[in-house]
Amino acid sequence: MRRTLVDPKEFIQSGFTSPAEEYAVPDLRLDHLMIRDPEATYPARMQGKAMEKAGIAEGSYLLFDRGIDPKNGDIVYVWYDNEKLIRFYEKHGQKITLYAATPGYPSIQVESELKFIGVVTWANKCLCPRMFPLVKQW
Amino acid sequence: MVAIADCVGFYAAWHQSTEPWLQGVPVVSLSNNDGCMIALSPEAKALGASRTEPWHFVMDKYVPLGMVAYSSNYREYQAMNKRLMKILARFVPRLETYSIDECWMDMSGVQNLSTLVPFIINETKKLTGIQIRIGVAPTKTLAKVAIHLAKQDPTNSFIINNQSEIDTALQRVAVEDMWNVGRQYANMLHRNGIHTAARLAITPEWWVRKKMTVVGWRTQQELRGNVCLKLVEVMDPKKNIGVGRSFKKTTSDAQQLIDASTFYGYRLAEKLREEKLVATVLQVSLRTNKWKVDTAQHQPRRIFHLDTGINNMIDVTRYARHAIKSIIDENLRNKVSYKYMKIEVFASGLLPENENQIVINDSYAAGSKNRLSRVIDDINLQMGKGKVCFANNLKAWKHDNLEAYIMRQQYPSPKYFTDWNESPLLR
Repeated sequence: MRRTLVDPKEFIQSGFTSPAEEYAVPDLRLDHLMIRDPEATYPARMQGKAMEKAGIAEGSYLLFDRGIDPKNGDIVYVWYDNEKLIRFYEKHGQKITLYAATPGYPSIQVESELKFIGVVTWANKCLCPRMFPLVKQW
Repeated sequence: MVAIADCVGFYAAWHQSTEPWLQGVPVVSLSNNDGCMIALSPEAKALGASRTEPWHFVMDKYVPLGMVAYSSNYREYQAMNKRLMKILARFVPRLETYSIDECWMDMSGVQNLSTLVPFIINETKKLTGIQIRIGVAPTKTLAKVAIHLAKQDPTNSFIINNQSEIDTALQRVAVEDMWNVGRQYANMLHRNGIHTAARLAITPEWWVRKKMTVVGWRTQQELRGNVCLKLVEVMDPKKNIGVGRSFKKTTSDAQQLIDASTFYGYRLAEKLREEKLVATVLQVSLRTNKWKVDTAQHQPRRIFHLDTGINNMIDVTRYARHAIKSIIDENLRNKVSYKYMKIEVFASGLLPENENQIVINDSYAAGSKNRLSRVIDDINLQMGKGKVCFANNLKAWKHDNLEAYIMRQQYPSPKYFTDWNESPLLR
């Protein structure tokens, strides 16, 4: 049997049109669910176990959004003390504290300059990596 | 009113926006093969560095001063450019992309320019981390004057609203700093005692027209506030596409040249299909190092005019390979050998895919080749570039071999936002 490589869209449709056609809506797309603002959202990846207890396992793919102003309790991506950090954000008055989720990681009282980069909006972990060759193993 | 926005040292700014520690550090971005500095951060400019200085001449001077250099990372710059343009398009009804880091924006009917413009600058900085500058004026030429003045303004913006503001702004701009005035015209104007834009605006029209043609006259009209250049929203489709690089080391090895030709033929076909164009003229050329005057020079070229436009890898690769083979054969016949430095595969006579000419009584099996190419594209899109390729490309794709004819990049930076595996790592 000969197999051909043809796009299904190229087939000519015959017979009755589907009665469901009228109800056609766009398929679900992950970026609609996970991206608030495509121009402000950037990818990143989790290294280390500091946020494991918050559900961000090592090697998770992250999305951060530069357009969101941080509120207390948000998980943020900041630049502090020469490190790219992902931490819980707490601000009371002028005092900013960065908490890790996993016990054993000290919380950080911000004393010198802190560069806020974005609020982390999603964390994704691949549960079946053998089928996803693009996912680099940790 | 029309506005022009540009990025402050765009390529360098991209590096600073992705690596927070680079903020406040002098950063430069280097051209292909790490030759010249093509973009400088304001900190690098403050050190006295200038564009087009050859990097290897000046690195000993600037590196001890803390300067950081990066090889150009065009894929990332392009991705950031797309984001920037989409962000800017949110604020205005119409936008014209002018270059990789500049665009024109239609500001007609905007009442509160003095609040909108700073808002656009802040919002863009927040969403991308890149500093932009904006100049606003009644015409494009005046907007260029405004953005020139914005360079000296701490708000990174400059607005020219009415006639008296036009007059004072033009006093501050020399003729050589104006848009559409080249160096030769600038020298000519200086010789005739016209030193500032303000003086050019009040020069008699007949004189400008005689000395500077209609282009100069248009510039003058625009300086007076009469719109001659309109916003162009739809760009012409590309006229030609070329791929090619310098070899790391000059080579006369036949196999390496053929490998390179198939590799770049393949890349060219990929690019053509991305743009949904077909090529009716293909040109393949080799070049020796023209700066090495003591070696024999040779610039062979092969041009193919095709009846039917092509953009499938099979045919483009075959023509590229055929061209290089014929050059090599000719050299063999003449018993000569040259050290080639650069290969280029170039497509022109481009047509949109769906306007491609079909030759009657044609035995050319484009359908199946196009389908095969499309399937290869799909696989490579999902599995990563080079997962499926032709056997004669195989060597090129293997990394150690790729090194031999891919450009020198001594200061690479990660593809942070275009490759899932190079995303920034947060701890």
